[in-house]
Amino acid sequence: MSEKYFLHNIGKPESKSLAFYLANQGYSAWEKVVRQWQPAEVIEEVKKSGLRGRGGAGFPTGMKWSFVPRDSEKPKYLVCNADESEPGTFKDRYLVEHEPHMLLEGIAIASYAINAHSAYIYIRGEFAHGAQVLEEAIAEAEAKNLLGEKILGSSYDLQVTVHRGAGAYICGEETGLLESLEGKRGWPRLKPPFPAVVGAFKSPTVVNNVETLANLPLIFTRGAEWFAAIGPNPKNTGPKLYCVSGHVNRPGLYEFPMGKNLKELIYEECGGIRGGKKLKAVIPGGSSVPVLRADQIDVSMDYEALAEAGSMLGSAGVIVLDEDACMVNALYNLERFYAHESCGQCTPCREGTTWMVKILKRLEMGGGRPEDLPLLEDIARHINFRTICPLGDAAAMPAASFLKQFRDEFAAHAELGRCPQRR
Amino acid sequence: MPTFKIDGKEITVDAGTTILKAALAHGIEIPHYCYHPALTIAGSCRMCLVELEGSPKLVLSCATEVKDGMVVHTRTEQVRDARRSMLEFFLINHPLDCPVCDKAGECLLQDYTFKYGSSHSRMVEEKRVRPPKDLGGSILLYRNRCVLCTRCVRFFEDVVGEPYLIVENRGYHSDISIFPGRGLTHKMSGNVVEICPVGCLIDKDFLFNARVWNLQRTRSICPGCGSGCNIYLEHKENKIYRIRSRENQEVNREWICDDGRYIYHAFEDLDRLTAPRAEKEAPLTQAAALQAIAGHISRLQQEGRLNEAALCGSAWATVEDNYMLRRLFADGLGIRTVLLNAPAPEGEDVVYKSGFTVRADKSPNRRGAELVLGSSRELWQGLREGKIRTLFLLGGGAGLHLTGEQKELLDGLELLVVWDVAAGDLVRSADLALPMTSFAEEEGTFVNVQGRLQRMHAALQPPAGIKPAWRSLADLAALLQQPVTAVTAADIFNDLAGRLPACAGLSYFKLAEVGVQLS
Ligand SMILES: Cc1cc2nc3c(=O)[nH]c(=O)nc-3n(C[C@H](O)[C@H](O)[C@H](O)COP(=O)(O)O)c2cc1C
Ligand code: SF4
Ligand code: SF4
Ligand code: SF4
Ligand code: FES
Repeated sequence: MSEKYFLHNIGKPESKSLAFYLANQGYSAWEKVVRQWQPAEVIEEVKKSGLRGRGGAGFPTGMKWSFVPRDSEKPKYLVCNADESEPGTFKDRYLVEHEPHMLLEGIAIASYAINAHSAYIYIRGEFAHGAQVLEEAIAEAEAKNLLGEKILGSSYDLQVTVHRGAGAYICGEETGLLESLEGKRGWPRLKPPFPAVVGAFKSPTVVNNVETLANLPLIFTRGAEWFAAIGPNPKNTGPKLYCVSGHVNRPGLYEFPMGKNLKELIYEECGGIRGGKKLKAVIPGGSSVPVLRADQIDVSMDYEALAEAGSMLGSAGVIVLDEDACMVNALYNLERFYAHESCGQCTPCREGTTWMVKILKRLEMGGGRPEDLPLLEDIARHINFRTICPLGDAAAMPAASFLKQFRDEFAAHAELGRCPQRR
Repeated sequence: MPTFKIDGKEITVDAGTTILKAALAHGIEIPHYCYHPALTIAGSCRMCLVELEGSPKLVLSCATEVKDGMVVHTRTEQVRDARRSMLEFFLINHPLDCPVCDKAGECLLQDYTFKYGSSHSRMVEEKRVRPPKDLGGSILLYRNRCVLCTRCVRFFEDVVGEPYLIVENRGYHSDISIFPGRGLTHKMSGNVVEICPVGCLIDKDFLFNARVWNLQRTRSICPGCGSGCNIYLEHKENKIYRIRSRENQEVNREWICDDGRYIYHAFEDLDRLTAPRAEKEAPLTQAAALQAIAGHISRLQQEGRLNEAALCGSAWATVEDNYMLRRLFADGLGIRTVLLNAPAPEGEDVVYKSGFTVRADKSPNRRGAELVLGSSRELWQGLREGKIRTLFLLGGGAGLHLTGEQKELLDGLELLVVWDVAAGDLVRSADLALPMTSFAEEEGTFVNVQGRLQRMHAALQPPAGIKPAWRSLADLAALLQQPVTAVTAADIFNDLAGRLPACAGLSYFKLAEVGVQLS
C-alpha cells in the first residue's frame, strides 16, 4: 500500500483548514452517517472493519462502543484522548495539528454511534498549538453546521469541547483522564466499573485515542470491508502510523498498513542505523513495552506477532538503540520517567519506581552490586499486575525485559560497580 | 445470596458483599490499610490482594464483590509474596522509629510486618526524609510514617462532609497536607488519629505520655452531650490518659467528637467536694450529715410540712442516682414535687454528613432522669412558683454556674441539700452538701436522646471517702427506715427494672454491649 490516508497532506500547511478538507471529500462520511445511518448500524460497521484502539491496548473499537448501555437515562460522553505523552510517541500530535477535521469527523461519527451529545478532546497541556488548531477547526465546523445543533438538517446535536491537561502522563490513562476532566487529581480509578458504564460525570463514556477516531471517516467512505482488507490478518486491519526515534538515519513519523515488518521499517524506510553502527535494541511500542534484541526484529508490527515476540505494539513508538547505547543508562532514564509520572496512589508504583531509580543510578554512576540485579527483578515483579492502573506494569515491564535481554551488560555494570563507558 | 469458598471454607453472604468484608466477618484476616468500613473504597494500598481461581492476577479483596461459586485463597505462596512485597515497599522509606512512636503497640505496620513481613531489609539507598508537621489544633503529622492510605482524607470527605486534608504533590513525593490557611481544628479531627493505621497522625494531647500497652481500657459513655457516644477510657495509676471511640453502629458508629475526646481534662481540674459540708463550709462526717437530713425530714413529717419539700434529679447523674432519689423521697416519703436539673440547649444539634450528631443538649442523661423521675419539670421554674421550702437536689454537672436570680431562689429556701461532684455554686448555696463520685469513678447507666439505655464501667478510684450519690441515698434510706438492699449499682438497676415498665425485663448484667433501645 503506497496510498497514504493520514500523511498524504504533509507539506501542505492548508491541510488544517475546513475549505481544504471539504475540497477533498471531507465530512462526506459524516454527512452520510448523520443523515442515513442508525447508531447501531454504525457500531456494526466499525466492528466489521476490525478497527482496534490505537491508544496502546488495541481494544476492538466497535465492541467498546457496544458496552455503552443504550437504555441508560444518563447523558453519554465521547472523550478523545489526545494526551499523547508516551515516550517515543508523536503520531496524535501530527493529526491534531495538521488534520483536525479528520479527527473532528471521526469524533462526530463516534459520538453519533453512542448517542453522545457532548464530546471532549482532552489534549496534552504542552500541545498549546494543537489546542488552538482544534478550537479554530471546531469553530469552522460549527459555522458550517457540521457540528452544533441540528447538524446538517438532522435532529442530532453535538458539542465538542477542548480541554487542556496540565502536564501529567497519568492523565493519558483513561480513568486518570476522566478524573482530571472532572477537575480532580489525575488519580486513576479502580475498574470495574469501566468508563463505558460509569465514566465522565458518573455517566457512560467512551474514551478513544486520536488515531483511532481518525480512522472512522475512512471506514465510512470506503466501507468496512475495504478497511478490513488492509493489514496482515483480520485481527490487525487498517492503516497505521509508526513513530520512529533514536539512532536511525531518518527518524520520523511513517504511515504503512498495520503489520509493517519492523526490520524493513528500520533498515529500508528509515535508512538503517546512524553512522553505519550496529543495532543493539528496539523498543517497538512506546517506552512501556518490553525491549527486543537486534535479532528479534524480523517481525510483523501487529498485536499478535509482537506479543509472540515477547513485546507489544503499544503506541507503535519505535525507539531504536545502537551498539553504543548503554542499556543500564537507558533503563535508568526510562525509570526516572515512570517514577516522576507515577501518580503515587498505589504502593508498589509509588515506592517501587523510585527504588528502582535509586538502584539504577548506583549501577550506572557508582556503587553497583551484583545483588542489585535480582533485587531489580524482584521489585519489577512485585509491581507488575499489582497496581491500580497499567502505569505500574509499564514501569515494571521495561525493567524486567532489559534485565533479561541484556543480562551481560547489567552484570558487567554490577561487577565493575558502574558503567564501563564512564570514567 | 451468593455462596463462595475461601480457604476451603464455604460462606454465604449478602449480594454485594466484598471478599474482604466476608472474610473479616468469618474470622479470616486479610491485612488492609486503606479499607475502612465507614469510608469509600480507595483500593490503593494493595495490601489486601488475594488469589481468585480463574483470575490471572491477584484480585483486590476490598473492591471485589463475592460472586456465586468463586474460589478464593488467602494463604497461598503468591498471596504471601504479595503481602511481603507490599510491606517491603511500605518499609523502605519508613523511619522504623517505633521506640519513640506513640502508635507502637497498636500500629498496623508493626502488626502486619510481624505477621506477614520479612525480617531483613534490602534497602541500601537513602530514605525519603520529611520533618513532622504541625497541622494545627491538637494534631501532628509525622510524615515519614505515612502509608498514604488516605483514610484521613476520606474521613473528612465521607464522614464529616467538609474536606480538610488533601494529598499534596505526586508519586514518591505524595504527602498528606491541609488546605492552605487552615488548621486541623475541626471538632471531628481527633478521629483521624484513631483511624490512621500507623503513627503518622499523632495527638499532641497524648504525645509521649504513655505506651499504649501499659494502659487499661474501660468501656464507658461520653458525658459530653445527649448523643451518648460509646467510648473507651484508657488509664493507668488512677489517671485517664486518653479517650477513644468505641464502635456502636446504633449510636456513634466509630466516631466521637473532640469535645468528648478531651472531656476528661475538665474533670481532672475540678475543685472536688471531698467531704460533707454544712453551711459556711463547715466540714461534717458523712454520718453527721445524714443524721442532720434525717432530723430535718422527721421534723417536716411531724409538722405535716412534707408537702413543702421537693426533690430534684439531674440530667448529669446516672439512672441509678436519680432512681434512688425518687425511691427514697417520692416513693418512700411521699414527696410529690419532682423537678429536674438539666442544662438549657446550647445552639442547635450539629449533624455531619454520615449522620454523626453533636447534640445541643450538653447533658448525657436527660432522658434517663426523666424516665426514672417520671417528671421533666424544670428546677428553676419549679422554684419560681415559690411553694417549695425544702429541696433535695442532685448536681453532677461539672462547672455549673448559677445566675444571680438562681442563687436568690436557692437562698430563699429553708433547707437545701445538695449532692455534687464539684465544690461549685450549688454547693456554696447549700445548707448541707454531700460529695458524690465523678465521671469515670462509678458504674451505672445513661439513656441518650434516642432513648438508648447504655452501661458504663468505672475506671478510676474516687478520692477517699467519696461515694456514689445512690450509696449515700441508700444509707439515708436506712436511717429513715426505708431500707433498700443495694450493694452495687446493679442492685439499684435491677430494683428499678422491676418497677419501671419501660425497663421491664431488663437485667443489669445482661445489658447488651450496644445498649438497649427503650420503647
Ligand atoms: C499510563 C498510561 C498512559 C496512557 N496515555 C495515553 C495517551 O496519552 N493517549 C492515549 O490515547 N491513550 C493512552 N493510554 C491508554 C488509555 O488508557 C486508553 O486505553 C485509550 O485512550 C483508549 O483508546 P483506544 O481504545 O482508542 O485505544 C494510556 C494508558 C496508560 C496506562
Ligand atoms: S499504578 Fe502508579 S500511576 Fe497507576 S494508579 Fe498506581 S500509583 Fe498511580
Ligand atoms: S496520615 Fe495516616 S491515615 Fe492519613 S494517609 Fe497517612 S497513614 Fe493514612
Ligand atoms: S457527640 Fe456528644 S456524646 Fe459524642 S463524643 Fe461528642 S460530646 Fe461526647
Ligand atoms: S485494603 Fe484493599 S487496597 Fe487497601
